[in-house]
Amino acid sequence: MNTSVIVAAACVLCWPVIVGCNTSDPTSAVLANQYPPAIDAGSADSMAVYKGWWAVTQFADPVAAGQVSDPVRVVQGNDYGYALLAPGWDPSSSTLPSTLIPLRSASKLSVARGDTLNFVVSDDATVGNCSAGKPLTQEDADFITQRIFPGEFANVNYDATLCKASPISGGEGGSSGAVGTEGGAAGQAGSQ
Amino acid sequence: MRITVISKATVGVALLLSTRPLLAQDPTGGATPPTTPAPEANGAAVAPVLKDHPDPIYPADALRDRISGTVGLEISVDETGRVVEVKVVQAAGHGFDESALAAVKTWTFLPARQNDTPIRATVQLALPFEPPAPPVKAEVALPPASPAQAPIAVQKNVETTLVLGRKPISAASSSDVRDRDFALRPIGSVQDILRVTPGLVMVQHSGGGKANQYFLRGFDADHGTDLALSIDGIPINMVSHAHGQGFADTNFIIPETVERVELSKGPYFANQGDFATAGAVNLVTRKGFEHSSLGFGFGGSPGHGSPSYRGLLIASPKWDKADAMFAAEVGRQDGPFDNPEGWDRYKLFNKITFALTPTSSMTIGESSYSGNWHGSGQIPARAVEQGIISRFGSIDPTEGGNTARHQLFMGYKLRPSESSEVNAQAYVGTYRFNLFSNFTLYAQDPDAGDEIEQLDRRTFYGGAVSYRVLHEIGGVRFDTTIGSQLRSDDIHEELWHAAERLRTAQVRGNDVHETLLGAYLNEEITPIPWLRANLGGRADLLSFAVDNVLASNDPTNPHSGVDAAHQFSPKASLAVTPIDRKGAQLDVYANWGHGFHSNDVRGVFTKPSVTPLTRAVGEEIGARSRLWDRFDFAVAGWLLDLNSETTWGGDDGTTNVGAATRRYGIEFESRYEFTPWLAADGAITFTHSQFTQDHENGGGLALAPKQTWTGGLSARHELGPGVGRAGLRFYGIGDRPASDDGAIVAPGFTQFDAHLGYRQRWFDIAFDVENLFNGAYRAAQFDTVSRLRNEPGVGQPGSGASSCGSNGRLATNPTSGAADGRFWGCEDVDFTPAYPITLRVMATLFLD
Repeated sequence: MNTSVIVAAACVLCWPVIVGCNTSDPTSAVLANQYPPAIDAGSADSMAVYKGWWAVTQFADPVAAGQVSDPVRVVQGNDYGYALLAPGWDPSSSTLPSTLIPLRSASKLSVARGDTLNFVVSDDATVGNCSAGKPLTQEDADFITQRIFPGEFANVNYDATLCKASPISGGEGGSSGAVGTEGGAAGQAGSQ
Repeated sequence: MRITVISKATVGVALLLSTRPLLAQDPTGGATPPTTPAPEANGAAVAPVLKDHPDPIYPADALRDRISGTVGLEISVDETGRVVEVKVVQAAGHGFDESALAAVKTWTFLPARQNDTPIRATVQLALPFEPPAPPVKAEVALPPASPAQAPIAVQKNVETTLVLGRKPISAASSSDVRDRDFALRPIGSVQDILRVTPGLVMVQHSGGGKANQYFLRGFDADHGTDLALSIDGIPINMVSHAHGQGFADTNFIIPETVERVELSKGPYFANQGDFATAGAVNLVTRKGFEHSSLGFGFGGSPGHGSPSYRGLLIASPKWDKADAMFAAEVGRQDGPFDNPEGWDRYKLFNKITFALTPTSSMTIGESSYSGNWHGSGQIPARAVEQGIISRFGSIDPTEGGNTARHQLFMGYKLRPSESSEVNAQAYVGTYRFNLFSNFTLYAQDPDAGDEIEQLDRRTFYGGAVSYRVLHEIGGVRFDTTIGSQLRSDDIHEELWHAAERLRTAQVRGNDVHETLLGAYLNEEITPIPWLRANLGGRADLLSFAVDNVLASNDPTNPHSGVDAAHQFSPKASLAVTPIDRKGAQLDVYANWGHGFHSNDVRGVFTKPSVTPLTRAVGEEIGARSRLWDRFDFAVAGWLLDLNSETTWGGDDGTTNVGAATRRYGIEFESRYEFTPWLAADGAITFTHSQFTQDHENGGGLALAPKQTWTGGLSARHELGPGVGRAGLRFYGIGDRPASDDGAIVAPGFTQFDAHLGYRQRWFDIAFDVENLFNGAYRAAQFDTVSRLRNEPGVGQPGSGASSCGSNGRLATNPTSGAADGRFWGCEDVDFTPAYPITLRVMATLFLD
């Protein structure tokens, strides 16, 4: 058998080896909820993260206190991270959270190509939780509630100093948004 | 009737080298082979003596250009005097090697002997090719069947060429580029090969796994809508494709298997049907390779991402009555993107051509391709300006997809007589495509984003048959071709809203069947040597059925139905050769013709609807000249009217209405050979595009290219025991309107590439530099209304505080068309960046 025939056979047979090649490691990000885990997930002191956002990627799945999200694909960048804190909400429940507190990372977060960005959500690493004495500026709060997470704050005004949402006058009282207006957000946040 | 036999050119045989004890000292006696063996002495071996030796066929292009060369061959002769193996040990290029191999395989010898016993032996020969003396008076060769066709390919073994002599240079709108030309340029993909065709510019779009953008004659032929692409006559364009009509993904082709590229511009060619409005490109693959080989390449963009690699395995067994080729390619590529492309792919291409009889041959083959990738999409320029992402960044890193194409094909050629031939072809294939894209970003869904998934599953099959005959009546030569083509596609396609590659809601779901049947006739008449007329036409019938698998809420708009459409497309051309003497040739020609592109038939049953076939009418005049046997120059002025720009929008599942358009322009091509080893070439085009009923529409048609340019220097020279080669190339496109009113501009660019290579008997090494000067420019560009996550919600107040970038503007209310102070998104140029400076090395080891 000459060389050509051997090479021909290799050409025909090699493809199964090739199929299933994996791609190289992409840049990724995780959201780490570093609030202390509550004994009861639905208790008032549980501090779940309802959603998160960094640069170009959303953390769409809730992250319970003390847990870390699955990695999501991102590109390298330098931007603030944003999250919605849901005090007293059980991520495993089928209900929507009644109270949401927008948070922003204390500083811009960076990640290099191929690395994993760790977006930590805690009273130390983020601002916005009034009960921790770190309210957002109203401008930042408006940016988060109107641009980053507009669906959750439709038809409500969010008061950054009180960490409380209230219906827009003449509006429908947050009926289309995920966040309710009746809860005492600051009080709940302060219960931890 | 007059058939000129090309082998009248002088082809001699001379001894080149002897390296083995049993080698002949001079088996041929030079150009006149001896007929008796040399005397035997003292039991020494007696070399084989050449007996029957049909002349090789002089390659038509080489003959036309009067190129000479000498091929060094190593021939193994068995005990019966039969040639059992032939190798090229000194390549001459220009098609000489292939021609020499084909001829020598048919030779017979008196076998070598030792002690009067026949033995196996090996001889080495030099086979020189010298063109015949130029004719005293113009010798008119029988022309190709249509202005676009190259001379009929030389057939293996005993087959001979039908059309010989100087190739007519009557159509500047068609050209033929052979592998020796694109071997002097960086070739990492088939797109790089296509780029060698004058006037055709293409750019990558959203990563390597997706079809390119093609620019030709005033068209931004988005993925191939107005450019017919085929390989060995098998259509590459996909009709009613989930992403875009005519989607032409050439990534399934292994570039090394391509022997030549046939390009024709305009709708003037009877044998070309669907999509051949701006032009058509046919890639012709090799029958085999001189050597089996193993190649490995790697490359990358310094400072951007990780290296890419490419492995290539080629086997070309040498059989008596068959040419065979088996090729496999694997590769991985991340590109320069912040979101690694991870484009993993494999490709197979296998083909065997049998010589059934001295006048017939059959080809069977298959090709297979699969790839998957992550795309970085087309990113808004304002996002880069604002520093949200880098120019290699991504707004939605979950874009990308996967695709596969597998096809079987069969071809049959028959020469019933010296003046006629029959070609038949059949193919069947399957195709898979999943693409995740996000064009509008967060405009429609401010939370989960506007990602869509387009899915296409299909089986396609078809065939073609043609009969061509040359005859002469009363001194007038006729070249008649009649043919038919058939193609059917059974398609299932879906359009989904998605978030991070998870489907959220289905927008469209269709089962589609469509069949296009075409028949054509072309008559080429040469009444006198300096005048040639071409009359032809084709009739096409498109029948189709669309089944909407989703419930329609509107009973008057069911999105389903059965229908048919037809079109007759007449063609005519005239070529005059006022000057045809040594050192000066000039052809002047005029073309006129109708053509068409089909539309996505899903749009036929939607309101507003698209027409199944869109007619194009083209006109062209031009000239092509060759001076001093070293300077080629061509110029063409052309005009093309398209009945409608209305298309089906695969991205949103609706109809994009567009009126009739007119494009016209002028093109120049030239090539100058400074020396036999150094040449320069260039092409430049100027085009104006506009809507027919509104000549004052500002900047013209959106994305229509206004100027393109290509060119470079090419060199090839013997260097030590091998041949060195080098190329410095450029291509570019001028600024063009991104929007119909021209207010938003897609900036142009010029890219420079360099190539160095060296080939020796046992290896080849190539070093490429793409984007030599590291220009930071945009490749594919689109005018898109989108919303970034940090911009106001659509319909919300606050447009005044928003910036849409230096080249963007606030979108108007889509309902009223007015600016009302609310934010409706930013209209901006979204683009895919060109690769930065990229280095690539490819090393090939020849195995036999």
